[in-house]
Amino acid sequence: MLLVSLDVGCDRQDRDCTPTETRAAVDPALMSFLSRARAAHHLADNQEQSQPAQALETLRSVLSGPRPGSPNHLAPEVREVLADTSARVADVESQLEQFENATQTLFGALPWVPDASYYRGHLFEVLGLVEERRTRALERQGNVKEAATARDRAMAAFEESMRIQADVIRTSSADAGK
Amino acid sequence: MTSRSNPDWLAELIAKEGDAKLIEAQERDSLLTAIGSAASPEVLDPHRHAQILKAALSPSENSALIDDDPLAPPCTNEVIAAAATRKNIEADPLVSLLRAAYVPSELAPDLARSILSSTLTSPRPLTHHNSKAPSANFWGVLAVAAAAALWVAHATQPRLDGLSPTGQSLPNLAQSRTTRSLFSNSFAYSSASERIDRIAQVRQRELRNNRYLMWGLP
Repeated sequence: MLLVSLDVGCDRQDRDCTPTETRAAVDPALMSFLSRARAAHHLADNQEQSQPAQALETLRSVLSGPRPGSPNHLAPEVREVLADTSARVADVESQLEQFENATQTLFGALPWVPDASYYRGHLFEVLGLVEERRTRALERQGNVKEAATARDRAMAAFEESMRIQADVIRTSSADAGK
Repeated sequence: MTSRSNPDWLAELIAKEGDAKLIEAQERDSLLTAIGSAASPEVLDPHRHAQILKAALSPSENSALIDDDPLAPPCTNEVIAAAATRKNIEADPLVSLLRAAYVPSELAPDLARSILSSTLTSPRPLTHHNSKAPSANFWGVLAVAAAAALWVAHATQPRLDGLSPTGQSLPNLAQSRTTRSLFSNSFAYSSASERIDRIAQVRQRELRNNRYLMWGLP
């Protein structure tokens, strides 16, 4: 049964389908999730400047809210939107100097996008930004040693982001040339 | 020439309008008082106000209100009129047809058999061993027709719980998949809101197309 479902669910040439996925049609439950996430992001756009804490709660509700499908078989769109939203949540958290929360948010999102993709690269990019902000905050506090450690983490995160995105670009170019 | 300060001006005004009969002075004064009260009402004495309300809201003290009370029990004339209306409605052939369509009564077995046999099968002599029961062919045709109706209903009925979880039995349904193909450029040129906008717009269009396919539309 598993082999049959793999054969039917995933085309071997299809890079968008991982071996653990079985495809499902776009359905109302998926659209409800996307609609809710979209509304949350637009709400946060209006709240972010004047009420960043409120914007943070709005975006966090996407991460903690209902998800279509079973927990172990989330649709690709759901995982990617959760990852993208996590990146934004972490960005806002770091702006509010909640650096530990921000890093936990980012590390919690990485399993949703295990393959090299824009979303995974973006998570590491935001991680670099979070550690950069932490560096500046520590420097302001006079904590030079920890600031240096944070700076190293920021550089490592940026380098990982660049590596992932380079893979994505190469893969996209290879597919485009076919 | 009269002016409004002239108490007879109202009578003269009516006379000009064509009413040859002049208003009586007493009636004129009452009318003037009423118009003045309407234009500039004075505050009612609270005791007098209570008296007026009591008189208006106490039907037993004011028989004229009984006829206007929508919640009052029906009088004899109303009961007779209602019965006549009901009788007329019951006799209307259209009402009979509507009732039969909404709550159809059981057909007599002989009548049902004759209707079915005349529409589904050609007339044939009844067999000697069971001259009154429907033939096997009749039941066979009915079973096939019922199965076909069920199949059509199942195939065209949109699922109330959304689309099939696998979507494998219907071709060309848009599948849930990664959104990477929607972003040919780097994320640096778009915000999170712009990305979710793009994702939602595309998937919304695909859901709509999936629905049309499920309903059998091209």
